[in-house]
Amino acid sequence: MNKDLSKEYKEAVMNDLPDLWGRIEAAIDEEESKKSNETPSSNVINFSKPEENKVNPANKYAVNAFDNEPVNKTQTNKKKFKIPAWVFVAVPSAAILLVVIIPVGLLMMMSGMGNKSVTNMMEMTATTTSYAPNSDADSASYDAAATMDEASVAEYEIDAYEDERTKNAEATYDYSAGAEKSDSVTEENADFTINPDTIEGKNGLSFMTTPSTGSEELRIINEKVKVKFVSVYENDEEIALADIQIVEVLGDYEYIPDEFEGFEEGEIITAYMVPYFGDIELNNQEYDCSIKYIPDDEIGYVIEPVIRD
Amino acid sequence: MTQEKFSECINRIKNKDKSGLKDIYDEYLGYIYSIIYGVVGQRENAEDVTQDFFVKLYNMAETMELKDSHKTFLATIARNMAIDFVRKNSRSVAVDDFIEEGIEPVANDKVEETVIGDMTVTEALATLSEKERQVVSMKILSDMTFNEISEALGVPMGTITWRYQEAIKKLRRLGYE
Repeated sequence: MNKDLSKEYKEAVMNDLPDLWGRIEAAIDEEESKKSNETPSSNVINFSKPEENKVNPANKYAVNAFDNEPVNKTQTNKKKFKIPAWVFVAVPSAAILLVVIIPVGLLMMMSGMGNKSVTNMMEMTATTTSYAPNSDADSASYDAAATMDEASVAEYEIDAYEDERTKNAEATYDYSAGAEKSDSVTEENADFTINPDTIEGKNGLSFMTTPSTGSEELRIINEKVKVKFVSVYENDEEIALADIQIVEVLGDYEYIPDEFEGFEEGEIITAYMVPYFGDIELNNQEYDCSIKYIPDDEIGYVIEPVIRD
Repeated sequence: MTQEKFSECINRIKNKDKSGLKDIYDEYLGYIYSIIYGVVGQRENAEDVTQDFFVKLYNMAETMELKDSHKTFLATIARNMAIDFVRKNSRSVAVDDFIEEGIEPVANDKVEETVIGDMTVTEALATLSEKERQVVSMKILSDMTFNEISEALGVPMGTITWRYQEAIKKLRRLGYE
C-alpha cells in the first residue's frame, strides 16, 4: 500500500509544533519598552546646540525646528522652508556674468580680440547655470527618498513577491547549465499539471527549450528509441523529469561521443522532458523518442518525441 | 481565516492589542512553522525564525497594506525570512557538507529488510542524505519550486532536481509516493 509522503510529512511536523507564544510576547514587550525609552529624546530640540538638531532623513520622524512639533516624514510641507538649491548656483553665476565676464568681453571686443572668445565664455557660463535645475531635481529626489518609511515595506514586499512569481513563471530551463532564459513564457501558458496517470500540457508548454545542437561543447546523441514512461517527477512550471524504460533501441543516431556505450533494452534512465509531449500514459503506452545526451549535467539526458510527418 | 477576519486582527495590532497577533498565531502557527522548518531544516532554528516572523508581523501591522491574499503574503514573508537565515548561516551548512562526505549511504538490502508498513515518514526521511532531505523538505513543506530552492541554496538547478529525484526513488522503495 502506498503512503502519501506529502500528507504524512506535513502531519508529522504539525503534530510536533512548538509553543512559541510566550517567547513572541516577551520579544514584543522588550522591543516596545526599548522604543518607549528612545522616543522622548528624539523630540527634544536643544537650541543651544543647533548641530544636534539636524534631521536624519532615515529616521521615522523628522523634527520641525520651527514649531518644535514632531512631523511625520511623509508630509511634504517641510520643503517650503528650503531655498531651492539652484539659487545658490544661479545667483553667483549671474553675478559673475554681470560683474566680470560681460565687461571683460566688452573690453576684449573693443580691443579687437574678436567675438569667438566672448562666445566661448558665454557658453561656459551657460553650462554652469544649466546645472542648477539638475541640482534642484537631485534635491527633490532626495527628499522623495527621505519620505520612504515602513509604510511602504509591506507593499514593496508584496510587489517583490509578485515580481518573483512572474520571474519564475517566465523562467525557462537551459539544459546545459541550469541557467534561466526569459523569452518565452507567461504565467498563463505555463500551466502544467500531473496526475497519477497522465501528464497534461497546455499551449505547447513553452517553458522548456531544446538544447542547442550547434554547440561543440554540447555533444549530442540523438538516438531513436522506443520507450515507456515509468514515472514523472515534477511539474514546477519549469521542468519535468521522467523515468523512462528503453523498450527498443532503434539505432538511428546523429552523433555518439566516445565514452557513451549506448542504451540497453530494458534499462531505465532519468531524463528531462521537452514540453511538447502532450498527454502521456504511464506504464503501458510505448513512444518513439529521441534521446539527447548532455555530458556536464547530472541528469544527463533530454527526451523528445519523434515528430512524424 | 477570512481576509476580513485577518484585517480585523491587523487593526487590533495597530491599536497595540496583542490579541490580534495571538489570533493569527493560533490560526497560522502550523502553516508558518512548516514553511520555515522546510527551509531551515532544524527545529531550534525554525523556532527562532518563527518567533522573529511573528514579531516582524506585529511591527509591520501598523503600515501594512495587503494587495493579495493574506495567506500568500504570510507564506512569502516566512519563506524569505527562512531563506535569509539559511544564507546567513551558509558557513555552518558548509561544515555539515564536509561531515556528510564520510557518511555511508544506507544500503539497499538494509532498506529492503525493513517492513515497509512499519516505517514512519520520519524514519523514511532519515534514510535520505542531509542534502536530499533538505530538498524534499523545501519542496514539500515550504512549497518551493526547484528554481527557488536552487537560488536559496546557491546550488545549480540540475543538482537540486537530481537530489530530489534520488530522494523520491529511495522513498518510493519504502512505499511513499
